[in-house]
Amino acid sequence: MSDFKRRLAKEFYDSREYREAYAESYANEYITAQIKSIRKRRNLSQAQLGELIDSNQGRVSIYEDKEYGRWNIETLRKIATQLGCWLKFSIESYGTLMEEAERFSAAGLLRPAFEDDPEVRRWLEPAREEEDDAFAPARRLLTQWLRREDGDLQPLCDWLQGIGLPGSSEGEDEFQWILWALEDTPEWEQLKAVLATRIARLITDCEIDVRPVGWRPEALLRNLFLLAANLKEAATLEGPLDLVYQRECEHKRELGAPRMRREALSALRTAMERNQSSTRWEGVWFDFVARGGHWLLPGTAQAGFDGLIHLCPELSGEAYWARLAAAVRELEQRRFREGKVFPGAMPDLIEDLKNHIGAIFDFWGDPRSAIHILRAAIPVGWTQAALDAWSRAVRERQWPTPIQQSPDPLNRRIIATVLSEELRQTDRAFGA
Amino acid sequence: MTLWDFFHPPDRNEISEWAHNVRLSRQERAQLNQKLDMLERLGFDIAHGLDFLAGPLKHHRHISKLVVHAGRMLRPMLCLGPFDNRAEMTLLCGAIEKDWELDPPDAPARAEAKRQLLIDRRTAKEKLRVPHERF
Repeated sequence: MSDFKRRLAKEFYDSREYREAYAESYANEYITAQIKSIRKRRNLSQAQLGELIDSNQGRVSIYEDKEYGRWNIETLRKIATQLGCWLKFSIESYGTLMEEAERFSAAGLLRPAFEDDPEVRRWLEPAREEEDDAFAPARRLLTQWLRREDGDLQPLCDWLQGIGLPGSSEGEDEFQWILWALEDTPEWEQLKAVLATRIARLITDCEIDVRPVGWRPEALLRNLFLLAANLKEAATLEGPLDLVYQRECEHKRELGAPRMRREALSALRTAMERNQSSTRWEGVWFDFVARGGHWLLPGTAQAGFDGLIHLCPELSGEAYWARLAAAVRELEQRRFREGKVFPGAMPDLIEDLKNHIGAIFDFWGDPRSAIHILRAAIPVGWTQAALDAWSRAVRERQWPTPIQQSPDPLNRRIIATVLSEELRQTDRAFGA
Repeated sequence: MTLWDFFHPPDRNEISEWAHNVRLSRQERAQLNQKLDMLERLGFDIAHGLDFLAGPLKHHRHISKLVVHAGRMLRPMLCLGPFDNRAEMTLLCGAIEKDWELDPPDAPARAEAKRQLLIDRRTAKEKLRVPHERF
């Protein structure tokens, strides 16, 4: 439950005079802030708006003064009309005031002009398309926005908070709705690149992670990072995501806690995992694997494996595998020291490791990486787990055989061991 | 954005104390709280753009004043940050404006001094600010 609303309810309950003053102040602030915000959004000066409503700059300045409080309905109607909107009168309960006050945001003040109103446009389109495709209105809006040169970023912030995107509603995964709507468009690849550029601008130019706008800032950040994760545009997004990561590190170092909440940090980690074009976060993933966690980002050793899986394939040389084997060994020993590894333990660490390594082999789809990890595992005494993982990969994924015919004696020895291990397992399976 | 109040350890909240001393009426408390609720949601820059805040003040470029026309012209002094300029604001001292004069007249200078104190004693054990307490 919201602490803000609880406090406000108490204050309202305690005094009628208080709640009436709060409501009046809110209404005055709201209408003046709204006139000013929409006027600026339409690129109108006070003088221009004054002219449009048959008045002058001085009067508009007064209408935008919060303390004026004596607006004439006819004047407000003229202003609304000239801004492409309509004026609504409504008597409201204090419950709605609490709700509105909590949700209040600069973005929420804005209203599209009639010509740009997505809801109007949606109903002007042929009806058949609506019946067949629930994403059509959202797709139209998104593609129009992505094709526009100016690339105003405010709509993206609104959509990621569940505002203004037809079909999507608050509480859903808004990033998913954007992806679903766009994925089927023929020019998806180009649109994806534009979307990634705009996400990058939100991070670098607007520092959205530091000043999230709107009434659901955590949802905005979470959705933004998950959208970035799914775009997989590492060339565009790796740098900006690193900026966010560095800013969070700095904040935690200086003030003892990260700026963002756990959900947003977790989404940031996912975005980092999937947008790697260099080895800049290699250390982060190895930290996860070796220590079973990270000092800033949420997650366990699994997060480290996920990060390493998505590390750029051409960067994963033998040194990488050697480090991975050593990191896994470190984790294994730490768990032993903590008494977390024993027969029947849940989760079974060794089984987990085999699955992780198997997943890495699977992801690369290249058996040669297996040789690296097997070779790297020998000096750290972790061969058995690696062999198990590899033999399972050979068996289950039906890898081709060139590696088994390698002229390298070490490789052949490893293969022999693997094969004998496999034979032993087969014998066991048949009760021999 | 997060709002903080300047605090004199061990137990004096500068802003609450000001509100108590000037005997804010219910109506003034409501208007102040309402304004601060909106300020938290708008953030410093947008609040400036929409004239919620006046400033930076002459000779005190880090200090802004909240503009509240209640029964009296309430003008609490505040600054962005000062530790995290991107995510927080700190209320430094209270003031009331009458006939274009502030009471206390040196409110901006006092606010600036408090801001400087916060920065200078950033690592001190006793913290000089606390999360904002509603009026």
